[in-house]
Amino acid sequence: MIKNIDVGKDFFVDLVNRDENQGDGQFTAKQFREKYLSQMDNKEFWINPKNTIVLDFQNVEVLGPSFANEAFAYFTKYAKPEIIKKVIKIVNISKVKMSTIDVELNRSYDRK
Amino acid sequence: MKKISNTRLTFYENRNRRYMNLKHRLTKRMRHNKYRLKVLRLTDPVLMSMMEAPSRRRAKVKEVYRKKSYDNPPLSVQIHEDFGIEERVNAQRFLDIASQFVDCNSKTINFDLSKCTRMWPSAVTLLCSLKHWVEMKAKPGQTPHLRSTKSEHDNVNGYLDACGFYDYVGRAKDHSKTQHNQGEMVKIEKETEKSRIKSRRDQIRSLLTRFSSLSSDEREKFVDHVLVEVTNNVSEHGLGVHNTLGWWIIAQYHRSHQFVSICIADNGIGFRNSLLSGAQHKYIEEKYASIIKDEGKAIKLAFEESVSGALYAPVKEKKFMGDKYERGSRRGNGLKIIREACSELGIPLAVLSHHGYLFIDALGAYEKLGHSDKRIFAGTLYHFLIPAKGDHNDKEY
Repeated sequence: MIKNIDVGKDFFVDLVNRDENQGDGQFTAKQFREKYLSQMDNKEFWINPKNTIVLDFQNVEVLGPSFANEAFAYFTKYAKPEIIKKVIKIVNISKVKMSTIDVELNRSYDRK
Repeated sequence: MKKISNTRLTFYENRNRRYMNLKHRLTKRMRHNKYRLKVLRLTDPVLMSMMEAPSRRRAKVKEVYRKKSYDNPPLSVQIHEDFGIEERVNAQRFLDIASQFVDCNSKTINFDLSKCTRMWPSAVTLLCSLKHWVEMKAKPGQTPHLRSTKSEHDNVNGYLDACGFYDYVGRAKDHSKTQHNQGEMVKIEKETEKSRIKSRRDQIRSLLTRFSSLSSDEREKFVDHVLVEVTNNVSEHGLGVHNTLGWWIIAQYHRSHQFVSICIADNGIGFRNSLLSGAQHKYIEEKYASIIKDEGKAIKLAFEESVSGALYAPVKEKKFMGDKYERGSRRGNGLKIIREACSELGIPLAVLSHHGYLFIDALGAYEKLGHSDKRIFAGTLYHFLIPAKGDHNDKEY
């Protein structure tokens, strides 16, 4: 089953806070992960991932590395960055924001 | 001797029993907690370190903000010419002057601005943070008086009024004739609401859109990687007291110098204390012992290595081929990202944190790094110089 989410409209336009301690503590990466990606938070899911989620970033204005790290790079403990990107498809995203996600995925996977 | 009735005797016995039971329960609990901590320390030192982090942090905050008496004779601080770190040639003078007064114990500090020709945003941030610092450090009713004279240069008085400094410190205005364009600055304000952090970020973004030479992609990178990370840092480390959140933002487009100066600061315990009181403190103490005595090195370490002063940060595992983190999300790369983004965009960066300072040039090389015995900033200041578009040549502020 493919699930489509307009992140900017359904969640928030500024994706900046890792957790409640940062910024205004609202719309954090942890909340985002728990709201939209919770079913992926187990080993079994990543053995043979079937569900795909499409995140539309058209209305997203800001994406901070901390948010990208907590929301997406979190899953590098289960799978490689390429597999994560296949399961969590991100569309309508700028080059800068995509590179932020790529860097965070690779950095977390490389354990540096 | 008065005879005690049986009822009274029963009452006393019951009361003693209750007291003894309570004492026994408390001793038992204390003994159990002690045993539990001992086992935990042996079996899971990482978890233990994370558990102890909040109390270690509280102790550091208490140490930094230990109350003191401001009872020394009045201190006069002469500020000549331009004051700030925006022009790197003046940076050492700025550090020398700051070290004269941030840690002083005088009951009155008089700033003689009569010969001051320019107050840069970094200097405004320094003075605002000083006001906050003395209010937090002073014993009740002993807060020192901070006073300043008028400058002979009207544009200085005008700027201090326009940038929000006089409002911030509650000083009477000088009724300057120099008008400053409010559209060319983001004023310094007392931040009292967490929800305003987005609007403050948006103000800087708008200033950069109008005046910086950064392209749309570059601006996006600066906002996403630098502005967001720095505002996250200050909002996390700022100590909210006196009805404020403990962080400040000020930005200004300087026509004559063709750059936009951005200062973001907090009143936290600084780089060194954060690194040495966070969850990674043991690892950092063992591996980078030199930072204990040198705050400049602590700042450099935070910009170079993947280390974190956060209370709940994972600790690297020691491996034969180099220490590594576990896979998954983790903290500790924010400042590295800031440095990488700034060098890619050609933006010089400076950081002052309590006793330490670090200046990085537009290419990402270290210009100046050091530790001052006397405190040079009450908190942590991040300063960025963004090149302007270059189509304004007026010789005005």
